[in-house]
Amino acid sequence: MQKNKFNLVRIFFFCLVLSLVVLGAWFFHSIFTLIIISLLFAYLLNPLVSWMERKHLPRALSIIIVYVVILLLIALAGVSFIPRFVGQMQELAVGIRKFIIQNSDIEVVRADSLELFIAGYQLPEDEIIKPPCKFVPIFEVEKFVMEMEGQALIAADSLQNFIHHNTRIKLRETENISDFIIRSDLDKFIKENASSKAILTGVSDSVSTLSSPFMGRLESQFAVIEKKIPFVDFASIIDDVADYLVRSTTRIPELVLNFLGSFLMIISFAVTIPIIGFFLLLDHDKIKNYIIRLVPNRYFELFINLLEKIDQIIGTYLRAMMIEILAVSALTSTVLGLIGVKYGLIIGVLAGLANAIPYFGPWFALLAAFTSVLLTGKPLIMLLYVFIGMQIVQFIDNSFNYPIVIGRNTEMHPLVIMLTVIAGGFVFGLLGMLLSVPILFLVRGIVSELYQNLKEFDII
Amino acid sequence: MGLFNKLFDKETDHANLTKEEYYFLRNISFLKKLHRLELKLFSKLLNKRVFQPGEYIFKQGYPVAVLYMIKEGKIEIVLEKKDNVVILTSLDKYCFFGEPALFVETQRTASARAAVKSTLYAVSKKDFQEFIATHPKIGGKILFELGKRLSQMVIDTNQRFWDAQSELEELHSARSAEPSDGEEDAKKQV
Repeated sequence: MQKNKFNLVRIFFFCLVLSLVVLGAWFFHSIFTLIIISLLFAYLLNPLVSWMERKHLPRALSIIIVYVVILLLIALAGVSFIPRFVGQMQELAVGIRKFIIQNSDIEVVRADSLELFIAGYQLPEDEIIKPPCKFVPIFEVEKFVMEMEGQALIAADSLQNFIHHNTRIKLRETENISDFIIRSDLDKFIKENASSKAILTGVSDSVSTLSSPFMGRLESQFAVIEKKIPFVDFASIIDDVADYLVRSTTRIPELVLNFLGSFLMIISFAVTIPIIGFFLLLDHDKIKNYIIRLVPNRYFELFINLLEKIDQIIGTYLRAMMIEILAVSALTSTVLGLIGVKYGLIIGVLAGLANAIPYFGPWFALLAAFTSVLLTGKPLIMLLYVFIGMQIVQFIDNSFNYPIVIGRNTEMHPLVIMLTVIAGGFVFGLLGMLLSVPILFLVRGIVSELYQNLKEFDII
Repeated sequence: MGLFNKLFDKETDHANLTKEEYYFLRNISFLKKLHRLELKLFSKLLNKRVFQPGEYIFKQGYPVAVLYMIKEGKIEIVLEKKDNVVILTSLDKYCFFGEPALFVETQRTASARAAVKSTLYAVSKKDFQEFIATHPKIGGKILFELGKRLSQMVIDTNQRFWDAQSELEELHSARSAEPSDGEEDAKKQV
């Protein structure tokens, strides 16, 4: 039997180990997310790799084959799917702005001049739809964001011009300061991003030729309004708006840099996760054995049992969920495309993701489709077609997929799901709304399994 | 400080199949048809556990999850009835127990505890099933041997049942007071 030795050396040794553990945790905390994502990555691919191994391929080779297949799929998506998706996104962004301006309270702007105005901002369409090589789409996205921000910058600039020309509004002091801020920042930004300079100047050229008649018209309309309603203080309103615009425009370089930073991070993640995943996949039984070795005898069988059950719960759920998202996205996109709804691809992907939320997700997607139909001014009978089409998709999903995903768990009350979605939205935003219900399902499944096993093994 | 022992000791590390382990595995009845490479593959499933004297491996009523093979030591299979403990049998080196774990989901019908310090190798049901799916040929050999052992157990049990029944009949004919009732009861009890 082991004796309990409580001498100083012993205590010192354990303190040392504890501090090393704390130090290690601190050292690795920044890549904690990376490790979790890599684990998830390896976990999702493991069945595929094991399946290939069962066909008498060496495990390392199986992993490489799976990687190559995934890369090919991504490349295929990059060539065919993503450009179309981005194109629709851009169309949507322009459409929304058009809608907002068309329906705003100021009746100054005639639709025709506005369309001309927007046309100046739009990118040539062939540039987006047909990329020259498969790696272009990523840069296409980047360029798209840059364009959008460039447009906002130019819009703010032209408004500044408008204020500048309007002598009746006395803004000299603020104008000078804001002009100074915007110039210096813009110059710095352009110097730093030489590549984006061309885009910015190109857009600004096209806009400056278009904006002057528009601005003139706006100016005269303001004058008319002020004559009609003398007590409205336009000067201060414009002042506020300009102030807000200046404040937001000065942040654009920072936003772009942030975006570039996160872009680099995504690239580094995309490289490191497969590498970590490779080793996790290669040695997964050694890693598992090592962890099991550390479990005390009393909890050994419990641990083995739990590993098996939890693996079953999470694995079934995640795989079924992935299939469901893909299936519903594809089905919805196809149905909406057949009906002729605009932005069908985006709404389809949205519907697939939203489908993770039981009861409410499908209605959310339906709402998005309806909005698209109404916004684009399609015939109203299309609403009925969309409704029927989405119901058919739901029927297919409910009869084939849903029983696998949720079948094992008992149903949850709609109120619980609604509250979870709302809480998820408050804490983690849109992503939280999508992920909170699946996480709730998994946590519930795991905890109930844990409880049952602890009970059976006489631990609680 | 079991955790530290396990973290830093080489004793429980079995990444490679040592000669000693190889001879041990060769002596397990359901593995005896496997050659060296196949044993090496199978050895990846093993979890080495060391039990102190008197420590329970599992208790009656726990869910079955794992099969154990005895590398060293002595294991007692005990039946616990309220106050008294009945030792059903004791198992030595190269014996294995808990094999129902590999086939059915049920509960342990008896408890197992270490009589002396014992080293066991454990194989979980899921690993075993995956191994058979991955290596059907080796799996076939193992399952055949396990089937042999289970059949032998059924034959033995049947034999003991008939022996017991004939013994009972002899007792009845000796008494001959209430023959039919007693026989029915005895059958039910068995």
